[in-house]
Amino acid sequence: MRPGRVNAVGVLVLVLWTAAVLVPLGLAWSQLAAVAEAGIIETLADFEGRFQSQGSLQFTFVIAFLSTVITLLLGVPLAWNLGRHRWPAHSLLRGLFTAPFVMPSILAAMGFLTLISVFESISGFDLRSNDEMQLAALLLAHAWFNLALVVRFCEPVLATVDPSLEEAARLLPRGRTRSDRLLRLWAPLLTPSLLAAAAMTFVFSFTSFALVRHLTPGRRNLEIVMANQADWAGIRIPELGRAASEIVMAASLVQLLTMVTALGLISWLQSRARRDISASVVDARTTAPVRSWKSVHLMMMAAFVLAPLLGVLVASLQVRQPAGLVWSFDGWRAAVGSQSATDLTSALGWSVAYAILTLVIALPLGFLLAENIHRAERMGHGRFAIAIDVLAMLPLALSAVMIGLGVLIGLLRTDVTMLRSWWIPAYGHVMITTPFVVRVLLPAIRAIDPDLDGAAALLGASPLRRLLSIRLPLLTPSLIVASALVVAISLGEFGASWVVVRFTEWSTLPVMVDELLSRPGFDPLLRPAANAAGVVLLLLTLVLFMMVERFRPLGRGGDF
Amino acid sequence: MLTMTGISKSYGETLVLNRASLVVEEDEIVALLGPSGSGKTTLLRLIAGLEVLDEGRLELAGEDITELVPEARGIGMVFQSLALFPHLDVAGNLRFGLPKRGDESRIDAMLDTVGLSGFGPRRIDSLSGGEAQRVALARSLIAAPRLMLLDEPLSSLDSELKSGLAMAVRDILKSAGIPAIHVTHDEVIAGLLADRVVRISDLSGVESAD
Repeated sequence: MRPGRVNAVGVLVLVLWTAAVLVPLGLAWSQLAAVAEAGIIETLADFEGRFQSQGSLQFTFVIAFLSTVITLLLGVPLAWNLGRHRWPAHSLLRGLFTAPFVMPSILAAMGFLTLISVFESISGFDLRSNDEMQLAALLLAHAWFNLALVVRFCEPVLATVDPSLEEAARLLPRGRTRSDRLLRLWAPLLTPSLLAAAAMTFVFSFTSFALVRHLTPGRRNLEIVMANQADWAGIRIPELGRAASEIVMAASLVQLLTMVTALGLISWLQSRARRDISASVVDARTTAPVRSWKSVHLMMMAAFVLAPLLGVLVASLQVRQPAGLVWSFDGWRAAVGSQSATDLTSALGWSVAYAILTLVIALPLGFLLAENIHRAERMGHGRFAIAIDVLAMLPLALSAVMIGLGVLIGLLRTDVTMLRSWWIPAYGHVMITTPFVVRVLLPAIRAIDPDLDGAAALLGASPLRRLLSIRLPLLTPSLIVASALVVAISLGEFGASWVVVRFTEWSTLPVMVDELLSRPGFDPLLRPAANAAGVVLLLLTLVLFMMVERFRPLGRGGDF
Repeated sequence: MLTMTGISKSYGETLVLNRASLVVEEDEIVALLGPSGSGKTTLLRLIAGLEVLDEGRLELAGEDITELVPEARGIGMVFQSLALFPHLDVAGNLRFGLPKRGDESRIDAMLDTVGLSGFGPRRIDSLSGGEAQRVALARSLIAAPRLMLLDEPLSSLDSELKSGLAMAVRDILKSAGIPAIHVTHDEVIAGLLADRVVRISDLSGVESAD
């Protein structure tokens, strides 16, 4: 596609995407506003006074802040250790430490629940009824989940900063001591990446749903408050729907404003990080000091990352009996059989079907959006390019539950015939995954030498042939990364799916796991069955994640 | 000023420098010529202390610096990549070369010396190749080194700019009275900048330059 021409397909895609994102949200908002009696200012003022949402605002902000601090405390030394040294099996180690980021959140919840059980059986304490312990488990689980962000943002900077910078600093009076260099060289170089990672961690902890739901069952953050009101919000019977609609309006507005602020900050910080680091990518790592405390630190962090995952596997093979825990495949048999409202095979089938449908729509959609942004940039329409970029990223400013509510209230409660549409959960998945496709493909599209396209055109190649024989082959690694990410995110997506499909026959694997975990624990096979489903999810995600890691170049960090 | 005696360095099986010796006199600028991969940069890094030598001895102004860490040697170096700190502006880069609580007015004076008056607030990525080269030189000079090492800092510039800058660098070093070793593969530039030209192949096997 030649820059300089208005591209009809591009404009159409842009209009369709904007409509697809904004229409359900707009419809949902008007539906909520129609049912609500109070205005938005009034609902915001009443929010903390209602029993359904009391304390949720403070809990959400405090947990997000503390999670961010703990994630940085654990993540920065790890990123330093990985970024400054070349370890044996380095790619595997980096993959291990960044894998939790693509793991379904419900899996993390299961893993930490298992670890709590193990700790309880060893220590004899009842951790689950202890409020402080629940909060500590939640904070650690958030750190486990977001550790990858600190590694992914900071490790590429540490690994590729021209080594002569540190050497030059050593030869100069103000860089002679290690602390001088840490303070004057590394801290300023790392600050933008570090703050971007912190802002991103804050966003993910702020919108945490599965972890809060299962690790702190007595507490509510804004996501839980909104999800709890999903059954009644937007119902056009004021006695039933009024309070729920007002609560969802207030919570979603606070959430939206917070996320837009944080994402704006991330975008600005990333542009600063790109500006400060030289464009050339050199491998600045030194051979790892294998016999040192750094190895011990790395092993301890590996144990921290692996423990919840291994916990899920072990818990799937253990069944509680009067005599104690015994090794058994009964949990697996129960998961495949009729233990759940939907069995593992069926849930897996729906999960795979939605992932494929999401891929088929999100990949070309994301590609065309990225092409449009690039074309606008090359034509010198910088502001238009930024506008498309912002539109493409719009769903990132919404949480999964908000997107689920948009689909539920904006589409299903507006047109009830859609309630029979099996494809409707994929709508939310497309909204959630398309921005990731754009973020992966845009740098790759920018990196293609424009002369290649020109040379092919001069040789008589049509726009379609140039796309098929020049651009797409050059983009293949990035397309694979984007595809793997789309499928992994879709398979593990929980918040939006929970809101939309939880009472339908289209339960996905994460929703099935949640359903099993939420049942009263009298049946000894419930937990092993849920863990068995979790192991399937874990293996699928791991395979896809390894594909992503294989095609990731050194120095590529915060753009996923 | 600098006496380098019988220096050897290998990387695994590859012998890069074999018992190399060289003397640089006070105020003298020596150009070290050699093709790519002949060990020129390695030699500078050994003198600076950025690499550890296998054998040999280094003396600077009569002091044995062989075992000293780089930061204690009092040697300045302009890297081939220039190694300007991208997160700092020009003045910030020069400030790195001042002692803590050093006289800040020296920054402007040094920028004057290298012909970059008023460049203090400029960002590093806004500089041309020649300007960046001068900033790198100024940053090393402001630390008042006992010896300056120049690792092909002009290699990325075009010929006209290269010769002009070579003359400017020579004048600055001479007026500051700082001896220097300039590594290059360009014979014309070597002749312009240096008082004496030495081929790296001639350094080996000389037991002592005294």
